[in-house]
Amino acid sequence: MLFRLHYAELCKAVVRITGSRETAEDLVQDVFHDLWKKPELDIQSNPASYLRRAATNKALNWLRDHKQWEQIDEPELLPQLPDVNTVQPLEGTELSQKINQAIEALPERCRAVFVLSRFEELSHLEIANQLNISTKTVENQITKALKTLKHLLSGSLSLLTALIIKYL
Amino acid sequence: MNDHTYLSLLVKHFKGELNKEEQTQLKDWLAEDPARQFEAEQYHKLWLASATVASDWQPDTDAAWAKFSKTIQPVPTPSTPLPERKTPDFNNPSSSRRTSWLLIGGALVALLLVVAVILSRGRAPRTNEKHENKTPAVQQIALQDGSKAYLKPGAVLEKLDNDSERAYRLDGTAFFEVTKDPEHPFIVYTQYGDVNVLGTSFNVSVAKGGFLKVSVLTGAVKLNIKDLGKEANIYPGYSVTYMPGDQKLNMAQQKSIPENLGITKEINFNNTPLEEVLATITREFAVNIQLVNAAMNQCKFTGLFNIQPGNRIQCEQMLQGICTTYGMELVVLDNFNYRLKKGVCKR
Repeated sequence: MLFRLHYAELCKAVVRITGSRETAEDLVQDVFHDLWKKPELDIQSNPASYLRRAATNKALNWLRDHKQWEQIDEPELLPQLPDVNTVQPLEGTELSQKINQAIEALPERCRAVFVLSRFEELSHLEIANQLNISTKTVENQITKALKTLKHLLSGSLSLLTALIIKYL
Repeated sequence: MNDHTYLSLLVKHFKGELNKEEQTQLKDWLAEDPARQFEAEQYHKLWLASATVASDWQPDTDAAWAKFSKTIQPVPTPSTPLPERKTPDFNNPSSSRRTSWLLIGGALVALLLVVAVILSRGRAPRTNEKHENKTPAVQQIALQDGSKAYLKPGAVLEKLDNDSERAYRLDGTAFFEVTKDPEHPFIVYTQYGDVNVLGTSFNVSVAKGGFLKVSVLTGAVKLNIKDLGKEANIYPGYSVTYMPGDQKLNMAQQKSIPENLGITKEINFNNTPLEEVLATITREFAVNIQLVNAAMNQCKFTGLFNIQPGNRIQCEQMLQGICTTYGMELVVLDNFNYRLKKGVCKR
């Protein structure tokens, strides 16, 4: 039951971090294997939260094991973006897909840091500790991600007016 | 301040991580030029929108399950109920001894059970404790063991004579608050499954249509459907529906229990420390609340609420109200997890 209910959702969360669907599926399978092998685990209070945390940790471990990121921020090329002037306003699902595609198109480290910040609600310090990078690098990667997304989606931002903005 | 520094501060602002000095710095910088304010708003829209998009990728759960199930061994089924067993459920068929049909772990469980067409099981002699609600309103019943039952109009609850169990047969819809007594499991028998409870509160609803639905607020429940030979562990915030004739149990997440019979509870906070307020909300709604600013714990809160236990929509509204009072920011992580950021004790 838990498997069928959460598998797809967990895969979608993990693929945002790893960037690989195949890896995401393998890691989520591992999460359920771990759970299966440890029946003494008490996940009754909040299984969704437990599984999400376990899957994120799997993804972070995978990143640490498979990605050798430098401490020093090296300039990374921005992904290939369409000409801003050709970006047409998008609506609803199309806009959502566009944002999703833009996130997926971010450079690997940039995407991982941004996803951990936005989807997993981790602080700069938590991300830095998890990925073994500096908080300055985290900061830089997030701003880089935002700049890239803004550039890519500049023609669509006007449609997001429903969101309440209140500053300082 | 260059663009990069400004954007870094803006991101920290979005995440609620700005200190006072940085806050002033950013505020001044934005105030210098309306164009900057406009751009900041664009970034904020993007920031908010980026957290809400869903991937269009649909992993093949059936194929994944087939792969997973080949690599695991079946979980042995206990021959007798194990009150504290905490085994993850993977929808595996298992034997269906009546004693393990439903197993509740934990001190407090809230459960909703919707059953259509309840038939007498003839399990045990009936006693004289029989309640039938012939009124048009929900009726509260005090059971012999101190537990409470709230019967919906038309519901019939009858105690079965069984020394080792607090056993009832239900026909209709009811909400239960069960006193804790591990030595004497509380069981509600229905046509499709039995509910075994150790110290809990739960809903039981019966309607025409032929289905069984179990929803849990807190604690855990093990449901066994004899006809299918399948078990399901049900956890807080989840419901399982069984339609006779179907070959599977359908589990779903729920934001709240809709069939709660309209039962409400009054909670009165009078200069109560916020720490205690949040503990009460955690308990009543079965959620996790993280207060980031520990200094807020001792803020005094006053307010009167009429709540429906387990209604997480209402929970979110309460938390939002508290956040507004103290200038805190509410972050909804998911249906069960909330984070309260920032805030100042005032009033």
